[in-house]
Amino acid sequence: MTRWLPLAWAAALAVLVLGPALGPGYVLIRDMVWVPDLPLRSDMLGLGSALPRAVPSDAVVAALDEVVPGMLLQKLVLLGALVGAGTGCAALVGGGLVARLVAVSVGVWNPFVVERLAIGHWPVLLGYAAVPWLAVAGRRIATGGRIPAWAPLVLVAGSLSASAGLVSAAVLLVTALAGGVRRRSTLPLALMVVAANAPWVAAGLTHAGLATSAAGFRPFATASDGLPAPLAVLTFGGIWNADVVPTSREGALAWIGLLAMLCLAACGARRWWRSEPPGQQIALLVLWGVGVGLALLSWASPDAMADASAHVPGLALLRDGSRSLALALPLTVGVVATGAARLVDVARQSVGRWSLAVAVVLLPIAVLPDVAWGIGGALQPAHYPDEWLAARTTVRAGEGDAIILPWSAYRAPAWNGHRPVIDPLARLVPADVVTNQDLVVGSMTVAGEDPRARRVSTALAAPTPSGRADALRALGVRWVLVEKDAGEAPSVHGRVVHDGPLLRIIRLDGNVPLASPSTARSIATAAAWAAFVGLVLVDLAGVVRTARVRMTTSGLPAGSVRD
Amino acid sequence: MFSFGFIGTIASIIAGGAVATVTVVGLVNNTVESSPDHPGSVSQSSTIAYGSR
Repeated sequence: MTRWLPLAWAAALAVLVLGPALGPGYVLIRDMVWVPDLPLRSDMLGLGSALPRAVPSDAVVAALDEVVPGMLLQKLVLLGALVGAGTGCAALVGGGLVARLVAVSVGVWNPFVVERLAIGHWPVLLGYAAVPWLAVAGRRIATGGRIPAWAPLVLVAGSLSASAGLVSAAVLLVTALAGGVRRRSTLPLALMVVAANAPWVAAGLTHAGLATSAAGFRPFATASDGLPAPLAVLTFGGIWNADVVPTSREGALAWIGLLAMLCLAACGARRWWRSEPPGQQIALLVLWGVGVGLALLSWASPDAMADASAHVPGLALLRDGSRSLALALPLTVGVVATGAARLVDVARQSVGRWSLAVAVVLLPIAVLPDVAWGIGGALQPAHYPDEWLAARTTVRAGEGDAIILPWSAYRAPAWNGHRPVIDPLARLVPADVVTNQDLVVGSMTVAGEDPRARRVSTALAAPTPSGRADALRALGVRWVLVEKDAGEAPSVHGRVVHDGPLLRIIRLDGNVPLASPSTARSIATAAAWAAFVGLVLVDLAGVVRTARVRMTTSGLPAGSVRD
Repeated sequence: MFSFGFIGTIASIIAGGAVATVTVVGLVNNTVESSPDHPGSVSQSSTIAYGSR
């Protein structure tokens, strides 16, 4: 029961959080875009002109949806992230049933999960789910010197975006190296971390010049919700976007949740410290300090971070301040779950123990009730209009790039319930798409970094439709897709190959120069992907071999299994 | 007089019952009346905000 009940509880909470999102259709909300069959394009590998923010997540999805339909894959990923986070927290804290169930509640039902879900950061959620499992793996490496067979795959799943990859790598390395540097495990561990993160590192290095120009630390800095930012981060809150903060975080329930969490943490801190293997306490404390510290630094001095990022390319990864809070998960869940178990142990009669157990397990849900059923209905799935789906065959790859008009990044289409989402059409068509990456945050516009997008903006400012077409053609643009229901768009002269109620597709005939990446960039990208895919294949082979050995040995008579 | 243990048990039952009641009521309310707090812009403006602070 101690093993299966946490899994069942995590699954129940995940279903309750996702609710309608698990029904037919695609959940399209802010940065979360899934399509029936994501085409594998060069920009998804990191060879586009824009900063590769969706490397390697898009390419991995493009490969997987050849096997599993995109709609089903999205639901499996979302469900897997939440169940994985919950069961990982339970595995990390160990102990009795109450501690494990509290760990599941804290791990699944908290502002970080809800807000990242509502903003559509599914790779960040996968990274978050990987954190407790990687802490378990790190602990085993530190104590036993062996890397668990499943650890590389968890690391890969947790490294599908740059920020998630940093978090995953930090958790695994800090917990594993807490046991000291060992020749047998440290080198494979380092190679594993490098391979899992190679695609986004290579893509980032080949776009290093753009990364230093990434603005916007202030708009994306950690923010207060109902709690002041320094307190909000203690409960995994503090996301910059007020639109995704649950209403319950803005009232008394946030304070009750904070006080309860602090009391339980204080109650459990000492016992937790004693129960952890030597070195692991320090490792988890360091991770907590870095995670909370970075989130607070982003809140306290975003301008200083922006200044520093102009000289340090990688620093731009930290501009969304509260993402680093995933690092705080292992310690927080450990001390809170231990405190809850200790509190329940205080009760002398079983009825009292049961009552307290119910209270501590349900407390995270009680203080954040509006998360239920798809975050109050925000995660409603939608179906793509037939006209959009037909565009996949009209717009062909290999003839030049596409742009989408109106020239803006986000849409709120009626067929998606007017929910804001980064334009899904850019992921639906097989041609590489140059997109406007300017982000509107309240009254502020954060300029995108892609120089090609800026040139497209200039081309669209030409005075005549023919002038715009000529300028776009010179930039390598073959296709102009106009979403008729998304507002005013400049007219571009060309051959109209489709004109329906929602879409107009214009082909710019004539000579269009095809851009190709430099040889050095292509080689670096290929090498990075080879390392990434190689890690996955080698580990899958290892997992299969281990499973076979286990199946073989389980069939032997008792006592015949050798060490 | 009531013993410390008896008072503790009663307090535990009250705490457990209160949290369970608040949880169930909160979940039922939010599940039945599910509608997003921030549905986003419903205008036909070509500029849709990514978020707000």
